[in-house]
Amino acid sequence: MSEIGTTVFRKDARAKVTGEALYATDLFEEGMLHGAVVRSPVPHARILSIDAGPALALPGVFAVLTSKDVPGKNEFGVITRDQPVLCNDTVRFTGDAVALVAAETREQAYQGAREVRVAYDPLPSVFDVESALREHAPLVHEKGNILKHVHLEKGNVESGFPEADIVLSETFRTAPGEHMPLETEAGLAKVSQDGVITIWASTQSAYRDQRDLAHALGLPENRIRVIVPHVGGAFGRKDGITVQIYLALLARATGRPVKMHCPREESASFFPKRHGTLLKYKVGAKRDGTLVAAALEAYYDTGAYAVFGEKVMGAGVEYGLGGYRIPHTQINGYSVYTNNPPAGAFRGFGMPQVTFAWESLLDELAYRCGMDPLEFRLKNSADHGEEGPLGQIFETSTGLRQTLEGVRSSPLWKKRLDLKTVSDPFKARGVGVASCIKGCGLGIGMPDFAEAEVQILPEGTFVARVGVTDMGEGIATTFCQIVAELLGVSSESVECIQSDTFLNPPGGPTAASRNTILTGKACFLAAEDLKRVLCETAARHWGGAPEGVVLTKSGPRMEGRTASFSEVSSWMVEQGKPPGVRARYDMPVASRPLGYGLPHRIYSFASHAALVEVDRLTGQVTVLEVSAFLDCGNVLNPQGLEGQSEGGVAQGIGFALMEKNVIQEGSVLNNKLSTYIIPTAPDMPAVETSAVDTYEEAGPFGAKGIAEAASGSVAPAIFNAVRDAVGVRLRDLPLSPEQLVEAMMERHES
Amino acid sequence: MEISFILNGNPVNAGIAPTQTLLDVLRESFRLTGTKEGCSEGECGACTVLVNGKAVVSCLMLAPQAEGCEVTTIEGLSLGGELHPIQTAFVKEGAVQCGYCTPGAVMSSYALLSENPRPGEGEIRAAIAGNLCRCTGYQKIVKAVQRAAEEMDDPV
Repeated sequence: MSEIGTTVFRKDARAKVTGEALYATDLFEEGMLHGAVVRSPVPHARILSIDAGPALALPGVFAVLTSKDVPGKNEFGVITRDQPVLCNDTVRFTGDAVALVAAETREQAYQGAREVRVAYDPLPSVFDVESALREHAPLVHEKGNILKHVHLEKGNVESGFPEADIVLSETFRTAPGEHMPLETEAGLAKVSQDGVITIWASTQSAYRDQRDLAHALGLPENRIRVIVPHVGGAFGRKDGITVQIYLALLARATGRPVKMHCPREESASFFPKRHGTLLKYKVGAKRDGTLVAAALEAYYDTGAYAVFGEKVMGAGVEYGLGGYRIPHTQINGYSVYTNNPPAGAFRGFGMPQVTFAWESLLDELAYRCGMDPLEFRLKNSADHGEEGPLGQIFETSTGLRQTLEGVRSSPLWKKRLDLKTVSDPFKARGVGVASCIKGCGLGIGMPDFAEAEVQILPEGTFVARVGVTDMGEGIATTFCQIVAELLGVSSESVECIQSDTFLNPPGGPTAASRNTILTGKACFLAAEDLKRVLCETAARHWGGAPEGVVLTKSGPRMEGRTASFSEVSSWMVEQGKPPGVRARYDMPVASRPLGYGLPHRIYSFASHAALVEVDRLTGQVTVLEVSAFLDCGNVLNPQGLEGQSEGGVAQGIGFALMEKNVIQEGSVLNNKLSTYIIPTAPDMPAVETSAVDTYEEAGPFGAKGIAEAASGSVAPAIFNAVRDAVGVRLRDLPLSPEQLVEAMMERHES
Repeated sequence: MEISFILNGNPVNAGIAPTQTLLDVLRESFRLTGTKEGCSEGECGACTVLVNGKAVVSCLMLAPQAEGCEVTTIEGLSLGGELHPIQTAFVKEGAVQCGYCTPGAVMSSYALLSENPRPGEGEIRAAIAGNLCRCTGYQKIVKAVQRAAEEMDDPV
């Protein structure tokens, strides 16, 4: 294999380093207008009246649209369509969309939005899950504040806990968080003469967007075309509708192209965030460290609308007890409405929150058992063929143990006692470990497939047409590698053309660590089929059997005869064959369904070790080193894997130590990059990445997805390292230096 | 009002509103969209360009302030289609993911290497501290700048 397992430079890197790569924000059309959204300034209210007059009187303002101008169904949402495109009678969060403005310039559009007069009659609001679940709590939606409750049981926790020698009960909280992709929500829409509305959008989910656009516009899907230019980061934020419907409505109403490009504050205030959670855990083990029973009550604040709420909470349930052997378990998960801004998908999809809590708790349990935290995890980790904590069977590649063994053999872990030594008396150092589990794919019950079309071009090069979007992770290059490997050519002669709902086959979203397996395998199958077609074509042209044809880097060969790929391409035309073949791959489904769309069949695992330094005086925590051990199956592109890992560690460090949306009475107070702090270059430690030796039979060339697991266990590794350094454990994320100082002082006094 | 400045080596004129930023003029009047808008408040570094050789966030500079200045954008680094060694190093080291921060990071690196041809790792991290990246974790950007420094110092 020459293309697989070697570093192939990103195909789009050249266009990106020269500035040629076009993003949705870079699109300009002759005569285009700019769009802006009129947003609710209050968290919960009845709309009494909307007066567009003052806005329309402003120079440059061209149109104002309200809910009456939504021609189809005034609703959207990935699973539960509970979010109005434009609110008709009620607003449910500060920032809910009430009207749209189109104007000649972006400035005029936002000025116009400020001048649309909306009268509100405030309603009682609720801002945290505990209040939302109280009797007589204000209702965010008429059907009640519980969007979804999931209850799973295995064994019997009633009899299980008494069997344990040590039982711990702890409550953890994680703050809501913000994706902060460098490119905010943006797009451009245009109506062509045949009535088709084309939307160029920064999105992860072109095909689902097309469906949602058709639903809101009351048009058949073949009147809506979604094209995705380069995407400037997403991480789950752009998995679904952001500005797409607004753009289409404005373009349709004005007859002119319309562009939107959200300012940072708007982006960081009103679009779906990472769920804040409240997690109540109980866990019991034998004195020798054998896990006996575990229970979890998980509350996910989905904000005013579902977005992905029920599924994100479902993921918390699925990953909340890791990949360990536990005979007795009970899990209750609640996705709860509040009047906070909506929460949605964010790298890990509900997993990083529970992983932080669970891996902190396990660490504490190891201490109580007098065991090394790594050996404790190894003792309990489930292997291939064994039953996981929910009752799922780990029936595909299962590398949790290998990732932990990787940590055990790493220099960081081996030298951890030496590394703790620090001469400064006001500093302390510690090393921590944690693991995580993340399913590949959307889970049972959601259509989870991808198609790909691989074509030969007249010049003898190849194109892979896919329905998904490379949002920065580098998946398009991976698809080229897969196609090139099967055809025996260099990946330089393969191009990947991404999401265009009119020209490309569907691929589902770029999400859920699913694309390496799904679209990757579809590319694999299509390329394999095209190889057969190429050989048959050459054989027929030369008058021989297809089995006698061999594909070489330059073209087919048979008994001394050779041809270029370009020639074969022309023979295909002569023989009446289409230039490309399509293939589809469906995500394999778990053989033992548990209900609620659970579980996944294929899981990725990761373990991280972190070395931290704690300033005893200020509580400041600095991460000095991180070692990542990833179970991603066979590695397709080592540089791509390192990129995912290093970026995942950065987001994990932000999640652990820095990132917290301060939301007061439903208003996001820190919606700028100067107030919502993400890691910068000087904040980042050295990251060492290793892949463990596993092979996923379902994936292309043995690979599976790793984007989410690569970030998932970073935060608990840091918290566990802090515990190792100073002997105290915090249960609120992100770590607050003030809280840490207090905890250290308390420990000192006692 | 009308301003004149040198843009990527060529003298140019532009009719602008006095309140427009250099970023908007570059993107809208000249359609040089390689310079990105990430925040418009000088907090992300995506709009970094060179003004008289210094790295500047173009969203915080009013366009009239560019009068008579020499402005270099990402498009000005690879004139004639040949990548600058910094750009090549970003490609080879895998320092590019979504790419939205890339032009700004390249321009900051260019300004650094112009002043300090052999920076240490800490100096590189400090020089790009204002270029936020949400994808890469910075490690490969640092390596790319180190590689570019070596290659520029030791031309083959």
